[in-house]
Formats: sequence, C-alpha cells, structure tokens
Amino acid sequence: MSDIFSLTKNIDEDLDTSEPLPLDFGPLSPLFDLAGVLVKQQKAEMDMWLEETVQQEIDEAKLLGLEATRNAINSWNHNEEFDWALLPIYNTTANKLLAGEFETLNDLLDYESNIIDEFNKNITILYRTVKNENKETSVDVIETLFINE
Amino acid sequence: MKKVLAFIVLLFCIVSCNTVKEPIKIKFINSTQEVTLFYSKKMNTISVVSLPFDIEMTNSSSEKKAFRNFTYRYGSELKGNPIQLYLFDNKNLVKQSFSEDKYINSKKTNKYLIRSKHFIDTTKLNKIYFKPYVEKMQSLNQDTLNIGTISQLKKEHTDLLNQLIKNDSISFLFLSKKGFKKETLSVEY
Repeated sequence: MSDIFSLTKNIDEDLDTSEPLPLDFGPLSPLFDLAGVLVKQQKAEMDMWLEETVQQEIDEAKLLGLEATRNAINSWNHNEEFDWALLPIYNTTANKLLAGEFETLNDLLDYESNIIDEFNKNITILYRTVKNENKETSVDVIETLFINE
Repeated sequence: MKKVLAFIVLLFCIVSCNTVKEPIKIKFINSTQEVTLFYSKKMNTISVVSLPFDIEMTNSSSEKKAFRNFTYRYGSELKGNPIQLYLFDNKNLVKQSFSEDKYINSKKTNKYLIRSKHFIDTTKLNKIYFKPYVEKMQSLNQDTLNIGTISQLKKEHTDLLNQLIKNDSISFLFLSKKGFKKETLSVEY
C-alpha cells in the first residue's frame, strides 16, 4: 500500500501535474485551459481522498494502541503533506494540558523542558502540525493522549 | 525527424534532472556556550545535563525559507526533555517558539543555539564524573552549574560525551509548497 503512494509521490515531485503544460495551442488554447482546470480539480479531489485515507488509517491505529499508532505514522510521514508526531510527557504536564493551561504547543514544551525531578513520562501525546492555507500560518493539533499502563 | 525527436527527449531529461531541491544547508559549528548541570533536590543528585549545540542554516535560494517544528531525538534509553532553540541576533540570544514559523532570508545565514536536556544515569555517572561538581553545587547552594564548553568537556570526559549523544539526531520541519519537508541530521560536536 505505502509503496504505491511513495511511487505516486515521486512522480509528483518531478512533474507538477496540477498545472497544465505551458504550451500554446493557438486557437485551441481555451479548450486546453479548461482541461487544466479539470486536472486541477481532479488532483484536489485525489488529495482529499488521500488525506481521508490517512486519517482513517491513523484513527484505526489509535484504537489498537500506542505501538500501532507509531507504526502508522511512520509509514505515512514520508509524505510531505502530513506530519504527525508522538511526544512522551509527564503526568503534571498532562494535567495542565487537560486543564487548558497551555495556549500553544510551545508553552507545553517549555513547561515540560524545565522539569528535572522526574524521568517517568507515562503519557504520550499524538500531535499533528496542520498548515492553515487561509491565514498562512500553521497550528498544532493534539489528537490523542495515550496513557501507558 | 527521429533525430530531432531524440534530441528533444534528451533535452527534456537533462532539464528535469537538473532541478536542485535542497536550498537550505544546515551544519553544526563549535559552540562557545557552556554545558549546564541541573541538580534535582528531590532525587538528591544531578539529573539533567544540558548540552549546547550551535548550528548554521544557510539559505542559498532567492526566496526566503521557513521552518517550524524542531525535534530532538535522544538515542539513549533514558531520553530527555524537549530542547530549546535560540537565534543569535547581534550577540543576543532570542528564544524561538516551536509554534511559529522561523524565517531565513534569501542568501542569508542564521545561527541558532540548541539546548538539549539529557537525562543521565544517576547511579552510574554521578560517582564517576559528577562527584566534584555535586560537591561544588552543594557548597555554593545552587541547583545549576556551568562547567565549560563542549570542547572542554570532550577533552576531560570524551567517553561521557559520546555516551550522551550516541545515536542522537535533530530534525527540522521546513515549510514546502505542498506542506512540510523534514530535514534530519545526526548530532555532532
């Protein structure tokens, strides 16, 4: 499964298929512009489908547990559109997170970084960085907390 | 006609093979910052070592580039805490936020400081390496202690340093047209 996608990804990198080739077809140009639009739309649909597939696969892995999730994100992270990450954290950090005391992931990391009295990180969070196309910024979404028993 | 066609195909191949897609170069340089030890009162021992690494990011392209997430992967079983990243801005250190885009202007080089937080094996290492430091910290009554640069630590305790950063790597998430592109480097000094 993942092999197929890595192949499509490689082709994608070399040839940007979302844009029509810059050729001038003379009087036929409007027709080819239309084809370009269709290609673009098709690609957007394919991207959406891909994203749904990935999200579904990761959601299913979440139910199986931490290791399954780790495998799932490792098999998808080679794809440039996605970035999931697992981060082990302390109980105290998790408590603060659930109490809504962190505004950004940066705040959480700062807090976590300054704890020197403990080694046991019993909780692992799954977060994902998502590009916000409209605002041209990106946000971190914490999707899941795993509790090691 | 065939010759012309072959030429066109050849030209196409050459052009498409020539696109260089790595406009950002990252390299480690010698850090002048000091290694810091952290003393945990609860554990009654030195529990964390913070190693400073300087890196240079050079943007050779004609447009500005940005990166976002920075993640340190600890190779040892004991792991560590999230790192902190600072930008050298005219000799001042400016803390960089994980959650914001960090830009490198076109044809410019940015210098950053990374500060690790390595957990250490308290039972093993404190006896061998850290005993004099613990005594010093106790006499000074402080919970952090700077013990010189990495090069100095390397001179005195090469094996300790090797043990600490063995299999460590750091990755940066660069923003690309499609989304993200992760650059990973193994940690050197």
